[in-house]
Formats: sequence, C-alpha cells, structure tokens
Amino acid sequence: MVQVGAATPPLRRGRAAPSLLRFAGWMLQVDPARGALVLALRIVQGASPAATVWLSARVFAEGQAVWAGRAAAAAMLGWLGAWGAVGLLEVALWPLFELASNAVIHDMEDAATARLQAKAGVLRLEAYERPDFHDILRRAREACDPGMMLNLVWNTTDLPQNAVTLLAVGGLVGHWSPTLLPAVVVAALPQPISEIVQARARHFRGRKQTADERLRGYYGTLLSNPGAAKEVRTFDLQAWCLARWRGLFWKVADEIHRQERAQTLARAGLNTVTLLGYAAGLAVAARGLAAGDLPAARFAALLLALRSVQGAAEGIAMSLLGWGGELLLKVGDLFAYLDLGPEEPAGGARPDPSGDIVLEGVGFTYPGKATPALQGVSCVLRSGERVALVGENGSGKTTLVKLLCGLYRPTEGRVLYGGRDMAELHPQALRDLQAAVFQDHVRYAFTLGENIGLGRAEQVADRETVRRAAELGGADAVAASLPQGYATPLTREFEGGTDLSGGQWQRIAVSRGFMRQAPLVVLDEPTASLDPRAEAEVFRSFAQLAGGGGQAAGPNRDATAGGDAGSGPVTAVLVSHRLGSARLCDRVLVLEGGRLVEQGRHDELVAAGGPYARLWAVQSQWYR
Amino acid sequence: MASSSTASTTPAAAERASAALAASAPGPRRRGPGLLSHLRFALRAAFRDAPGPMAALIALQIGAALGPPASIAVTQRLVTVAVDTAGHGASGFDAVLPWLAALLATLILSQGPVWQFREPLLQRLRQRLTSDLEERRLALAARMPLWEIEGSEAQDRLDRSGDPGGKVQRLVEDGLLLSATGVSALGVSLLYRVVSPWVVLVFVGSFVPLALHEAAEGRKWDTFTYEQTEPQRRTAYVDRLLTGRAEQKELRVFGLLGHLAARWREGRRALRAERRGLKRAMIVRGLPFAALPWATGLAVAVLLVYRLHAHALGIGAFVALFGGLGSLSGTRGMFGYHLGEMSEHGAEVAHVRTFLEGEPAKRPADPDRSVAGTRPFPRPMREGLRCEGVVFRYPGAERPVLQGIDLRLRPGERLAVVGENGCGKSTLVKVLLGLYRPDAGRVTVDGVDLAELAAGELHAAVSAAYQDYWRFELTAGESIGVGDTRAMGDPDAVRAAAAAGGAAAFVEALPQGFATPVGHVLEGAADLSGGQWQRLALSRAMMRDAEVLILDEPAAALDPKAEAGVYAAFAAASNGVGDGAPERRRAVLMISHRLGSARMADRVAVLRDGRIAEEGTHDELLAAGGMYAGMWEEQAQWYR
Ligand SMILES: Nc1ncnc2c1ncn2[C@@H]1O[C@H](COP(=O)(O)OP(=O)(O)OP(=O)(O)O)[C@@H](O)[C@H]1O
Ligand SMILES: Nc1ncnc2c1ncn2[C@@H]1O[C@H](COP(=O)(O)OP(=O)(O)OP(=O)(O)O)[C@@H](O)[C@H]1O
Ligand SMILES: [Mg+2]
Ligand SMILES: [Mg+2]
Repeated sequence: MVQVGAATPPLRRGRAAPSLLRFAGWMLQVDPARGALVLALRIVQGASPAATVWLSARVFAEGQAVWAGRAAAAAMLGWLGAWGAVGLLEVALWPLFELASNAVIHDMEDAATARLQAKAGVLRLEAYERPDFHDILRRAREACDPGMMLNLVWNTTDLPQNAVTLLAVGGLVGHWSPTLLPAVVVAALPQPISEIVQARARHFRGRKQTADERLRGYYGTLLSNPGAAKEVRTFDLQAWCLARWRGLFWKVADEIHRQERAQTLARAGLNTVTLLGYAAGLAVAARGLAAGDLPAARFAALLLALRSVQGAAEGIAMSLLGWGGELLLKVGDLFAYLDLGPEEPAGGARPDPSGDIVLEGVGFTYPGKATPALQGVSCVLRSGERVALVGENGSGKTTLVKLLCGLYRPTEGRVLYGGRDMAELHPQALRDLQAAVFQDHVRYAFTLGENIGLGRAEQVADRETVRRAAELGGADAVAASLPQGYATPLTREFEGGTDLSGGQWQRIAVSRGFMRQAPLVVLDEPTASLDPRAEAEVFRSFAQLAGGGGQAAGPNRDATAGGDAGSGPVTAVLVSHRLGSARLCDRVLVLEGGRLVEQGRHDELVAAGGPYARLWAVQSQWYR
Repeated sequence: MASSSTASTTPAAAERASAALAASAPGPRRRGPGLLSHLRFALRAAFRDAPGPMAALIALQIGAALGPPASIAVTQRLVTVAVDTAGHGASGFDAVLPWLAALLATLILSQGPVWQFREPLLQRLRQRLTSDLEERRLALAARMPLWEIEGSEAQDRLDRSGDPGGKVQRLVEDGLLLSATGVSALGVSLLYRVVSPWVVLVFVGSFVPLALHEAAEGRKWDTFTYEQTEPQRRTAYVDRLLTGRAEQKELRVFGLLGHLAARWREGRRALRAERRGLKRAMIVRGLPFAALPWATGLAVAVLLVYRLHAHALGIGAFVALFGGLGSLSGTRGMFGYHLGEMSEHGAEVAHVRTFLEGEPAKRPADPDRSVAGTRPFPRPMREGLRCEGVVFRYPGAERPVLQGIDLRLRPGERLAVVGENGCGKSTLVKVLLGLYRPDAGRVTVDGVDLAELAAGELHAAVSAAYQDYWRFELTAGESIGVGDTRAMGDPDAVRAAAAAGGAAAFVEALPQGFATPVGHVLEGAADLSGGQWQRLALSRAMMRDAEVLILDEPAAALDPKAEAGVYAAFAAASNGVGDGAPERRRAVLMISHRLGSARMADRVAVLRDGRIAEEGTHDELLAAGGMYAGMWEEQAQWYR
C-alpha cells in the first residue's frame, strides 16, 4: 500500500527561492521599456525629498535674514522658484508614473496568467488528480491577481526610490549633524524587521486555513451556481448550506482576527520606538542648537529631514523583509507552481499510425489512493480492430481509456504503440493520431459550430467538415432545431445563448469526436443519454469507422462498412454499458475490479457463460 | 396566481407571453441613487453590524484628523522657541524640550502607533459585514427562481455583487478617511488666517472643483466597468477552461491549448486596450486638478515671504506654515484620491444594493412573489399531480418547449415518459417539481395549484434524481444525505438510501466508507467513476419519504446490473411509503431512453413536439405501431 507514492509520479516542488531580483528581472523582461521607465521615474522621485529638504533649509535661513531685515523679500524668490520647480516636477512625473506602472502591472498580470495556462497544459495529467495540486494552482492564481502585481511592482520599485532618498537626505543630515544619523535610522528598523516574522506567521496561517476556505467557497458555489440550483431547491438545502458556510466563515475569521490583534500590539510598540528615535534625534539637534553648533534654519529643516530619512530606512527594510517578504512568499507560490513537474516530454519519436497497441501488465493507481484502479491488464489491440470495453461501474474502463490515449502513464507495466513505449513518443504527434469522446465531455460555452469544430481546432471555421461531423454524431438535428443553427451560443451564462438537453449535448460531444479522422478512435459511453434512434446511429457510425470491412453495421443486418475513414485502418475502442453495441465489435474486453477477466467475440463470450454472459442476460431480458 | 390559472392554454397565448417578455427585456441601464445614498447605506450597515469597531475607528480618525494642524501649531512654537534660544546653552535646551515632547505626542496620537490599530478594526468591520451581507447575497441567490439563476443577467448581477462585505467596508473606510482629510485640511487652512483670510478661502474653495471632477470621473469609470462585466466574464471563462481539471483530457487530446490561449489573449487585448485608453484619458483630464494645488501653494509661499518681510509673521510661524504647504498639498492630493476611490467604491456598493434590495426580475407568467402561498401539500395525496394545458418557453427561446401538456400522475402509479432528445422531458420534470412556472396552464396536486402551496411544502413532499445531477463533493455519506438534511445525521437512513440507490456496495468498499470524501473539495478526497457518481445521485433521491419521486435518466451511466436494480426499484417504489400508512402510495415518474424500463410502468407517455403524442401501456403502444413502437424496435434489435 505504501509503495503507491513511489509508483505515482511525484509532484516535484519548485526549489528556486524567489527574490526581488528575480521579480525585477522578470518585470524588465515582460515589459522592458515601460519597466525601465517605471524604475527610472521612481529613482528620480527618490531624489526629490532631498532637494526639498535642502531648499527648505535655504528658505528658512533666508527667511531669518529677511525677518531680521538683513535681506530683501525679493532675494528669496529665486529659492522659492527652485522649491516650486521641484514640486512641479513631482506633479508632472506622477501621471507618467501612473500610466506606465498601470500598463506594466497589467502586462505582468497577463504574462503571469499566460505562463500559468501554458504550464497547466504541459504538466502531466496525473498532477490534476493530486489533492494538493489544486491548492498550489489556486495560490499561483492569487499571485497573478492585478492587486498582487500592483503591490509587487510598487514594492520592487520602492527599493531604489528609498535608497536614493536615504542616501541623499541621509547625506545632508550627516553633513549637518554627523552623530544624529545612525541612531535615527536604527530606531526605524525594528518594526519592518519584525514584520517579516509576522508576515510569515500570516502566510502559514493562511495555508493552514486553505481547506476550510475551499470548503466555504464550495458552499457558496452550491448556493449560487446554476448547476447546483435544481438540487438546492428540491432538497431545500439553502439553510443547511448557509449554516455550514457561516460556521466555516467565523472559524477562519476569528483565527485571522486573533492573530491580527496580537500582531498589532507588537507593531504599535515597535512603531513607538521609531518615533522615540525621531524625538531623540531632534533632542540631540536641539542640544546642538542650544550650544550654538547648529543654525536654527537647519534645525527646522531637520524636522522634515529626520522623518524622511526614517521613512526611507523603514521603506527599504519593508521592501526587503517586511511586506516585501510577504509578497515574495506569494510570488514564490507562483514560481513554485511554474517549477512543478513532471511535465509531458517536449519531443520524442513519431508513432507508427498503423501500429498495434500492446498492453503489457498494465496497472494504474490514482495518486493518493491505496487500491489500484487497474491491475495486470495485458492485451493487444490490433490495428483496424473494433474493440468493446465493458464492465461494471468503477471497473476501470475510463481509466484504461485515459491510458490508451497516453493521458496517464501506467504505474505498472507499459503501453506500446507500434512497438514503442508510449512514454517515448512525441505527445503531440501521438495526439494527432487520436480521436476521443470522453464520458464526462466538456460543454463549452461557445457556439454550436465551435463546440463541434474544436475537435480539430484548425478546422473550427470549416463549415463543411463541421457539418459532416455533426451528421455522424447526430448533432445535425440539434442544429436544425435552433433558429441560429450552428451559430447559436450554447450557454445561458452569457447573453444571447441557449442551453440544451442532456442528449443534445452528448450528440455534440460525439460529433466533436468525429471531427477527426484518426487511426485510433476511443468512445467512452457515447450514448449514455441518447434516444434509441440516435444511439443506433452512433453505433452505426462507429461500425463504419473501422476499416475492417465486411462487418455488420447493425446487429442483425448486413450493411456497408469501412471506407469512410480516409486512409489506413482505424482502431476503434467503444466503452458502453449498452451491450448490444458489443456485437458490432471484433472483440469484447471485460473488466472486473480493474482486471481483464475475459475477452473474445460477443457470441463466444455469451456461450462461455462467464461474467459477460451474466451482464448480457441481465440487460437483454428487458427486450425479449 | 390568478394570472396563471386564467391564462389561455394555447400556444398562441404563449407567443403573446413571449412577446411581452421581450418587451420587458432589460433596456439600457438606469441610473440609480447617487453616491451619498450609497454611503448612507454603507454606514448604516456598518453601524448595524459592527457598532464597536465603528466607534473606535471614528475615534482614531478624529485623532488622525487633528494631527496635521496640531503638529503645525506645535512646530510653530518649537521653531520660535528654538530661534529665540539658539546658542543659549542648557537653559535654551530646557525651553525646547517640552515642545519636542508635544510634537512626539501629536505624532503618536495621529499616526504611527495608534494608527496601527485601524487595521484590526477595519478587519473586524469587514468580517462582520461579510458575514451579514454575503449571507444575504447567497440566500437571495439560492431563492432566485431557477429560470432566473440560469440566465446571464443573474450571473452578471451575482458577479458584480461579489464580496459585498469588502465592498461596503471599503466605502465606509473611504468615507472615514475623506472626512478626516477634510477636517484636517480645514484645520490646516485655518492656520493660514494669520497670512490672510483670503488664503483660507482659496484653500477651501479649491476643493470644490476637485470634488466635482472626481465625482464625474467616478461615474464614467463605473459605466465602463459595468459594460465590461460580460466580456470580462467571457475571457475569464476561457482562462478557467485552460486550467480546469475536467477539461484537461479533451484540451490535450484535441490539441486545444494553443487555440484557446490565443482566444484568451485576443479577449484580454481588447479589454485592456479599452481600459488603458480610458485610464489615460482620465489621467490627462486630471492634470489641471493636480497642478492647481501646486500653483496655489507656490503663490501662498510667495505671500508668506512678504508677510514675513512685513513682520506680520514670526519666523516660527513662517517655518511652520511654509512646511505646512507641503502637508496641505499632500492633504489635498489625498482628498482627491479618497474621493476618486469613494466614487469607484460607491459604484461597487451600488451593485451590491441592486442585488440585495433590487426588484426581483419578472416573467409575465410569474405570480406575484410577495404573496406567498399558504396551502399545505396534501398528504396522503389522493388524486395526484396533474398538468393541465401546460405551456413553457425558456426565456429568449422562440418557441415554447412544452405546448399544452395534459398529463396525470396518480398516487401509486408508475409512469414512464419517453421521447427523442430535446423533446422536453427534463423540462417537464422541472415544471412538475415547481422549479419552472408554466407560462400557461397549471400544475396541480389534488386540485391545488402548486403556486398556492406554502413555501417548502412542495419540496418536502417530492424527490428527484435529475439527468444533469450535481456532484456534491463532500463525504460520500453527506453527498447522499443532502437529499434530506434532517436525516443526514442518521447513518441508518443514509445507508438505507444508499442501498436503494445502488451506492451501498461501492461506498462501503471505499477506505473510510461513508465518511470518505469524494470529488476534489475536501482534504484527501478522490474522484469517482461516472456511474458511481450517478449512483450517489440516485441514492440522494431516495433519502426522502416523498409522495412523488421523479427519476430523469437514472440509468444513463449505470452498468447493466445497476440498471436492473434501478428498474426493480422503480417497479417496487410505488408500493409503499416508509411511514407505515398503508393507503399512502408513492407516485413515480421515470424518464428513460432504455425502453426496457417502460415495460415495468403502468403507463407510458410519449412526448413529441411539446405535447403528449401517445399514451398507454407498453403493450398497447407496441400494438398501436406508432412512434413508441418504432423506438422500441430500433432498440430491441440490438438484444435479440
Ligand atoms: N436551460 C435551458 N435553457 C434554454 N433552453 C433549454 C434549456 N434546457 C433545455 N433547453 C431546450 O429545451 C428543449 C427541451 O430540453 P429538455 O432538456 O427538456 O429535453 P429532454 O427531452 O430531456 O432531452 P434528453 O432526452 O436529451 O434529455 C431542448 O430543445 C433544449 O434545447
Ligand atoms: N480521478 C480519480 N481519482 C481517483 N480515483 C478515481 C478517479 N477516477 C476514478 N477513480 C476510481 O477508479 C476506479 C475506476 O474508475 P473508472 O472511472 O475507470 O471506472 P469505469 O469503469 O469507467 O466506471 P463507469 O462505468 O462508472 O464509468 C473507480 O473505483 C473509481 O472510484
Ligand atoms: Mg467510465
Ligand atoms: Mg432530459
């Protein structure tokens, strides 16, 4: 039981520690021109406090002279002009900064989301079955949020701005009163430094609460999602869901609040230390003033300067450790997701389109599960063969289908395609050879035509191909019943759309599968919701697919077969609980509890009186 | 109620109804109440939900508002004393110290340490508001009629009103900050009266154009975001597809990643281009309003110099007031900023209000929802459910799906409804269960219109397994138990329902039995196979001791043995209802494309073109050689 973990591909965690530098580098890479502009603007902005302080000191000094009658008022106008110019620069740069940073933030949001999507598409599918994967994905998504990006961009660019301020204003202060500076700066540090400890505590508290938050969100979904609306109303679940929602909400909220209160006390205490440092600095300056070492104008300017120095020092510590640390923990989630593995191979051998598919002792265990879904399955699907896969619910048919499509890798044994291990084949090339209809097909909120056409995205706009696929899968009747035909948007969640019945959706899914003329066709329960006529049609389309020729296209009649599938033989696999369809197949594979227990032609198996015969007897009794 | 029972039952009437609906379709958006009204709403909610935190926040805010004027006043004294005592040695230092202490005190009270306590208070406020408003929002969503919540309009409204607690809290916070900034700007302005009363007037007056400008910009932004909701939702949908678990298989096999990613990029680009254009225009329009404070500041600085020269100002006052110019322009910047935020957040709160207080959407056929029904569900049911000329049309559809259905379901009867895909069987189920109201005609139980039943009466008496059942991703036991929340705590009830729905065997084989989490929501949950999910849905329907049980395609994903089990249950289900009253017999309606099941039914109804086209027993219909006979033949050939 324990070796399961070893058998399933481990979710490789990212190692790279994210850093401000990695982030800044990324920003410059995503949007080089604007990213650089934002950085430059902030550096210029960083210099302006020093200019203001210095000019203020001049103005105060001149003011004293004017007051004492030593100078004319007009003599100050030059200094005022300079002071005003600095102010004007600030006023003018701000909108520029706002525009540029806005654009950068959205570019980064898009870049991050695009990377997240791309990653989602190349990760091996098993990852999606892992319980922890979805939390990692969700956290990565949170890190792509525009608000997050805003904070990050600000935080990252705060650093150079504050550094410039600290150097410039600090230089000025040091020049005026060398002993003051270190004490004032040091007093500003404890709070931001303690912030990193607090931030980590918050971050990990948040992680601990993920499960509760997820469940609370789910109760919210139950109440507001149209899909759950019927059951919620019929079973009167409103009050019940709300009660659970409320319980989880306050459980989490109280924990958060308790932590916040404790942290606030610490923060307020350390903040007082900062202010005491400021006051102490001023006291030292006042002593200098009293002793006659420091001119009064400079003392007045220090009132401004010391706060500005403290602010800059605090800001730097915050960027590096405090909020910055917290933000980086969050971006770290994104980078950790982007570093996840294993991925599908980027290359590999080209498969032989007319090769047999060989299963050698194939077993599969879902990640985190103790019992295997498939075990020791060995068989050969010959090229051009029609194979039915039957078995009870949960016997592993769908799992086997996913293995045949190369979506999962067997955790035991191997699947060979044309003599090569599927794992070595080029994933894209492999997929070009497959067409599939899955049991839990997707209902795309696109138009009817697109829903079918997406079976072969390059031909989504090719009406003729779409129409032909629709005919094969029975969706043509659906299109005919809608006023806008193939252009009807199939969802009521967006304006102007309509919804369909379960069977109509299934016809569309089957048609989507028929968009491709591929050497391997897999249909997993394609007729579960179809009416008898549509079901018969699909079975006939299926029978025509495989190029074996000479087979009956209906259970009891001889009809034409083969030929329609373009070039080459077609291997077709049909999973169905409608056992009548198994008669169309060259061979029936019977699964039971994840093992292949029987195989042969329908007639042979019925005659053999095994599990298949029993299933057949149960179902055919209704129709005798 | 009167409207639905007196309406004519012809399709023509339904056509008229649809025309009326089209006429009442939402037009361009009306402008609702203004910002002040939203602020009042927000403040009222805040004081109601969190009086304590609100009082404390206001106290903090008063301290913060008085901070800047106080510190300018203290600075003035400090500098005056400093200049006077410069070079006086220890005695000079002693004179400065008290003012330094005073400066420290204003800083501690107005920013820094005390200010830190705002965060936990705001957090508490947000939590209380969320708990209250989000709960109301969810409850409203859960009470929306089914047709409404299925529509795009409701989804848009739900989207826009998301996180109502956060939205209201932000508006309250804006209100507090704005008034504090206003007070402190006024306080600082008043200090300048020593320069000239006109300065005070100019300072205060310059806030007016700023306020008007910000309010106008806020409205534009609001209209813009309102119109972007739907396109935004569309791109977000594609984004979700790309990372969705259920979608991955298809996306990969069909190689759709590139295609969809391109679609997403396209959608984003369009959205962003618009947004960026508007933002740029707003920033450009805002330039004069940013330059104005700067210009007045400079003018006043010049004035200060001349007043100093004329000895109308002391040096201390000069330094303090000159320094104060910076703080004043900062304050004005903050004022504009908070105002902008406020109108933006006001618009968000407007969406919350429209959702929470708004008129419910209406369909012409809807009875007045404010008049609740009062009748109980007749138990035991004697005559059963009856459709009389039921017409139903989906909103936005051209033709009604049901065009005059007359159908009867008696207690103890097993009725099979069959028909082609899309003929309206599932729709009929939803009408029968009161989820949709007929546009014309009526559904009655023992002669009482469903609309006249008291709230909850109908649902307590019926149960159903829907064709597109929801997968409750809780524990296996809960997933079944939600069929009857009052009994879900009783393991025996859940086990019995599981046995009846064919889920018992596989659930008991799960590692933790009924306590095993299924799906992906709970920690440690694992997915099930399609048929296993359907068995859970069936078992859920079996939880209730219902007078009417409806099974819509219950065997679609079931294996032959489970299918036989369902048919057997169907055959037996009407024999008695659990509580021992022998005369009570359950009515069962089953929809299935597996016509073998129809043999077990007392009666088969064939639905076609929105009407019951054939009705009778299996044998009668076979003999009649109509549509049913054709379908039967089509299916039975596979099994001979
Ligand atoms: N939510 C909806 N909104 C709009 N139209 C709908 C909706 N659901 C179904 N329809 C339309 O109403 C018609 C009847 O659908 P319904 O689901 O009742 O069919 P059905 O008889 O149950 O079919 P099936 O056998 O495929 O389950 C279909 O044409 C479908 O397109
Ligand atoms: N994503 C998953 N994660 C974990 N376990 C799974 C997952 N999907 C299926 N299982 C389990 O693996 C087993 C095989 O499931 P599979 O879906 O292959 O059955 P199936 O034969 O297709 O059944 P059905 O006839 O109901 O479609 C079942 O016991 C099921 O509970
Ligand atoms: Mg399956
Ligand atoms: Mg249906």
